[in-house]
Amino acid sequence: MSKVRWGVLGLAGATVAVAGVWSLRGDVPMQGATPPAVAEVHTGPPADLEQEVRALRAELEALRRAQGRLEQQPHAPATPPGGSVTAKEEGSEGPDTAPTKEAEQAAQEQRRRERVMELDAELEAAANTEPRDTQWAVPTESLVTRSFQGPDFTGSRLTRVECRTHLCTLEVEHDNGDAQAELLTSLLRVQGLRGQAVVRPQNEGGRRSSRVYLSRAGERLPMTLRK
Amino acid sequence: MTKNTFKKSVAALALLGALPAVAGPATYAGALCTSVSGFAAPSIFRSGRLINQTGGAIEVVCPVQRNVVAPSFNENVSFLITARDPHLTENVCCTATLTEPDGTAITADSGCTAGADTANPKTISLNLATAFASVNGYIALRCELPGPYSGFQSTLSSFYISE
Repeated sequence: MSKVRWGVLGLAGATVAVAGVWSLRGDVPMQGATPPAVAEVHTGPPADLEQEVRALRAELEALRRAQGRLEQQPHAPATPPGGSVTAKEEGSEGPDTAPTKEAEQAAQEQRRRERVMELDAELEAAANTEPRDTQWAVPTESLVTRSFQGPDFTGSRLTRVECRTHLCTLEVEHDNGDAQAELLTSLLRVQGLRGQAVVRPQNEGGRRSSRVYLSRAGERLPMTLRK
Repeated sequence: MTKNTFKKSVAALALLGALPAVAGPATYAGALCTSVSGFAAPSIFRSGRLINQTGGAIEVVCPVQRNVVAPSFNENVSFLITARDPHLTENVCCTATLTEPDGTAITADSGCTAGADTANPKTISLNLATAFASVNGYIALRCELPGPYSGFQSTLSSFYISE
């Protein structure tokens, strides 16, 4: 019994000693570990996290598009011309490769259209946001307007022209397909309009029109190429 | 197992073919170009240069051989035209055009030489964003050569293309 008492007393003494040492260490400034500072806690998401979320959203969007394309592919080349069931069962090269090639071409065309939309968006953004350099814009608009009165533009009518600092946007209506096809070639034969040009031809119910982006002579259109 | 491997190989080859192809650059002689100025035909020298020996300005069109696997997805094509421009007031001007298979020109770049030089050639640099063309879109180069000046004639020596 006395042994138990001594044991309890010893344990209590050891506990008191450990508590004392602990309380003493708490007063000593600590070198290694940094205490958490309340002022440094961010209330909103940090900038890195926001960027990561944006990147993940973009990746998710790309994956969704890829999935959409893959879902469409089996429907596009349903039955290849000239392919027989027997040949397919035997695993011959013809019927297996033809749908793959067609599907890949369709996917490639889809990617190209998406890329063209990107470039168009870039051109349109520049056309809407660029400041106007009146010293260049006014005479260039006059030159474009005068040019459309010449014989090279027979069958085409200029409905709008607006120049900014580095590019002009033109809207043109056409009487026929030939006038639409030759628009760009005729436009770049005009002295003073030497630059890059992109035409977006449209044909809505037989009504032909074109939207033209034309750069300042010697300059390039605002398009970010990947290569 | 063999069939599976074969299918995978075919798929891999198809994917490889789908990659935007990059072709090596090529240089062509001016002799490839054809006059589109009616009866005003240029002279072709044995060296392959095209020389405007007519009395006035002429216009020529040069077809371009496309040598990429996926032309519709190629981002850009660069041109470097070498010409001699001895005319003091007029210039050699060239326009590279990208056209849809039906003949509708959809993108172009145009440039001219600057100044005049009777002895040394000058260059014109052009660039096209070919991603705009659908499958089988084609490229052509068109150049305007001024008439003779003090007995010196304008020349289209060569054109370099990098797809």
